[in-house]
Amino acid sequence: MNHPLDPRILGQQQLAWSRRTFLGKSAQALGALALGSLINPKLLSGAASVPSMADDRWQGIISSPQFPPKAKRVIHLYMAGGPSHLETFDPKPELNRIHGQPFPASFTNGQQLAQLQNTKLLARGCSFGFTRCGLSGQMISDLLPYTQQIADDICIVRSMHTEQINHDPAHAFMNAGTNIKGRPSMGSWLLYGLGAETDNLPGYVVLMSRGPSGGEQPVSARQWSAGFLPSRFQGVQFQSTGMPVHYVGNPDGVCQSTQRQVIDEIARLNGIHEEETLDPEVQTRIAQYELAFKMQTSVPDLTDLSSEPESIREMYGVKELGDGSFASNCLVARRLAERGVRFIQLYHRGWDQHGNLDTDIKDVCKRVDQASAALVKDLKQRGMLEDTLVLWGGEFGRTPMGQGTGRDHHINAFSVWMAGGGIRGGLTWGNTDEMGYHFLEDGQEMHVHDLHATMLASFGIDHEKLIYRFQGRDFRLTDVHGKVARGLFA
Amino acid sequence: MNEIAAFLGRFHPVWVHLPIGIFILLAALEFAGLLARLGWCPWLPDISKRQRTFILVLAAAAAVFTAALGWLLAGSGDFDPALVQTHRWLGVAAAGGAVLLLVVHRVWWLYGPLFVGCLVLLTLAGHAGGKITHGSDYLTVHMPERLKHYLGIPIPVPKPVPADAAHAMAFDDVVQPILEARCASCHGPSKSNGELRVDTWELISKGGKHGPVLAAGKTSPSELMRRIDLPIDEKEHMPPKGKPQLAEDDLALLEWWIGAGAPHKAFAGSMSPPPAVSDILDARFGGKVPEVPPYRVATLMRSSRLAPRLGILIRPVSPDGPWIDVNARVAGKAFGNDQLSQLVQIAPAVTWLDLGGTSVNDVGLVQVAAMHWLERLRLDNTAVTDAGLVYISNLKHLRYLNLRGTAVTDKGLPALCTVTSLRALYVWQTAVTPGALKLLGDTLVDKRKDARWQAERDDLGRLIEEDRFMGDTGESLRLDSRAP
Repeated sequence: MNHPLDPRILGQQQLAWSRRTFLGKSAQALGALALGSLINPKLLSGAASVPSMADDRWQGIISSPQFPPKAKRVIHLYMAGGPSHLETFDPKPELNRIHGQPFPASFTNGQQLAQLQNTKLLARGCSFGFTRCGLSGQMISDLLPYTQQIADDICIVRSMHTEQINHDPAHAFMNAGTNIKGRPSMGSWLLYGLGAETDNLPGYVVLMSRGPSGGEQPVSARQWSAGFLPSRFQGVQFQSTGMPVHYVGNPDGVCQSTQRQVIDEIARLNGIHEEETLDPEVQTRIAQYELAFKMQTSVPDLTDLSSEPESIREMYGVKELGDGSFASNCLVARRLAERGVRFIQLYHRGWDQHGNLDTDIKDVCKRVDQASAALVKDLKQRGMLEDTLVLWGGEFGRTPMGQGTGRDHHINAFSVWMAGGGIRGGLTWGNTDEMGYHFLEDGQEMHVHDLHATMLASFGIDHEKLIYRFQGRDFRLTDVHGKVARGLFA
Repeated sequence: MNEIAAFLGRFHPVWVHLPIGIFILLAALEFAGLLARLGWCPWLPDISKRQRTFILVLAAAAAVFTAALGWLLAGSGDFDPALVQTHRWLGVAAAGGAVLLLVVHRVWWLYGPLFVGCLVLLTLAGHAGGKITHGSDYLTVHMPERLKHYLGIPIPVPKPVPADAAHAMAFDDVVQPILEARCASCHGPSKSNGELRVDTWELISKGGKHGPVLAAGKTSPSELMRRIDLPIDEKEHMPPKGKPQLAEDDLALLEWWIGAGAPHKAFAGSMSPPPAVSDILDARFGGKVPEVPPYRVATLMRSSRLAPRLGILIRPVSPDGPWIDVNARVAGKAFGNDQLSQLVQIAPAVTWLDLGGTSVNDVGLVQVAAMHWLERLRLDNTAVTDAGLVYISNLKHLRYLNLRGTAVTDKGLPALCTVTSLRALYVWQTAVTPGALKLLGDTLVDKRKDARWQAERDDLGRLIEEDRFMGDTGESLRLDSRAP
């Protein structure tokens, strides 16, 4: 029934391949086969090695780096909502000076505004002090006392800018380099390019936390979607309260060996279905079953935070383990990183201060500051900061013009910081004009595409070489843009 | 005339194949004809008398011409005379045989035996010729040992490789290989020009026709060194012009050995070699694993076989070099000393090695000592103790060492003082005290980074100075009126 000349299968292939594709593929395939069998003798050993996802670890399509790699994993502390750069990492004395006065029109003429359209634009100064910190003397807001302690380990990028002014498209832009739906996020790209260093856990894990006050913007699951890449590369969201994965334990009366038999049988049936339909998504399904089985042991081990000494919990400021706080998530993130997960994204919502900026930003800073700094310190004392890239930042910044008691969305300038993964600590990269309105074009400007290119470069990947062909077009995370900020690397 | 003779003579090795080919073809035709005539394979062609005569004329002519060329070539005198002599007469005999065969080939009872005789002569002459051009053990050197055993060919005993430079034997391991490679072809068992042989210590110390060659330890140079040091155009210069000459390093080693009294059984280490010589010795006998980087393709192929078997991850860390990142942490406790020892084939290519959380212990670190190009080494949460650090102490490129959560104590640290490349050492959750780390203080400082920091600090000083004049940075600004 599965004879290769079965008319149904032939029909499928006719559907799947045009004549031109077929000829092109045949020529490439011969060369690839020859090379492949040279590198991996198992390749041509026949039907015995039908790739079962269970034991064939995905090792990425980047077989050899284009640059010497520095980082091996990313922890993205995603400050969702758009943290104000003017209250955190970008002090502007000149803006403070003209506080309450009309904002100079020379800055804003013809510029895109979100909710401040057709209103009178007034400058809004910052109510908080900044301190020069560490040996490097980086300026960091007094709202972030713990981050001030790690000033020499982090590189503050002040010249970030993006293209999307509303939350959801801006999240998509930060994750996938475009606001168009159906494109892979950067975590999926990394997983596709390099694979993960674990097969007991997903290679791309997402955790979410929020403040107590309502009104935070939702973050949709499309932000960690694999887009057109095979769906096995998509991010997997763990619950931040209780068990990260629901129903991870076996029901009463079911033991692991029974479970194993069930999974094997399902894999066999799915395998038959896959041969019939040639649907690559069935492969993903088989792999997910296998992963789920492994997670039955790996997840309880992951969340068994009793092995964390009291001192570590105190350092992160974890009140109760698995309480859904950002601090608890940071601790889990470190444990994920230790277990070889490639891309870990912690969303913390609550940075969208259109009003009550001064009180609300104080609150949200308090919630993330200690744990963010603790994560960097903890990675450092474990010797993991060398190859873990920590990225802290949001999807955009906030206007230097006031919006009542807050600030509006702003795309022309915002700040992020990076640490580890070969990034030079103690460096302030790029700058904004004296109002903090626009990034300066001083050769250190950092578009989101540039951030992506730089991130890939720290993994030894040339962002122009990580390509996936979809519907006849070559796609990249940076599309046709992106410039690596070489100066960031130590 | 001599020039022309030498010129023509060089064509001997080309022409020599022609008569051999013709004879073999004739033998095949005769054999086929025989089978046809006997009726065993009637479909095979029979050879006619005319054809036989014609082929024999060609064969005899080619044989005589080739032998003549060979004679000319032998006259040029570049070869071992004993071997040439044998080949010369065998060749002439074969050519003569071919002519004789042509003369008598109509006498049927004489033709057969004489033809077989000719073939045997031709084979012997060809083999003797081959010995001259390729050397006498050309055919047998790669012969399987079992076959050699049946044929009674002596099996060479492999020389033991010295463990390191200090344990190399001065004559057997250092000097003899040089003499063997550069001198023994004319001063050895197959040929001993000037009645000098250099293949054993006894023979070289006996000297040659003109007396001893190792005037060891005297102020005047030994005869051996004098000959080698002569300008290459001098008639007495050795090895003769046109032969491969001794390398600079070879010369230094020979000079040192003769200067030290040309000892026979002495360890190089015990002869207190000067730094220049010990560098050369280290380069030759440094360790069992060569320091020369291995080939990329070979490394990656081996890695792709090893990684799945050991359940580890191996990735290249450079776009074109052989360097690899070995991650054994993924295998966990299942990865131990035995698994680590299987990495020996790719050991020289390992630049990053993650053994964190594996069951590797001090004993296994012997393998790590052979990874000369190691840059990052993670041993966190392993059973490694102070004793194991000794194996790390001679890694020259180690930059990062993670010993977190091991049983390492202050006593082990002095072993790391020799690792001058070390820049990052992680000893959290160990018994190491800050006081002991001071010992490593200077080692761990990256001088260039330090200078850069200093420069940046000066810049910062200037910045703060400017800020003071600007007035309003670094202070909180109290806002009295909120914007509407």
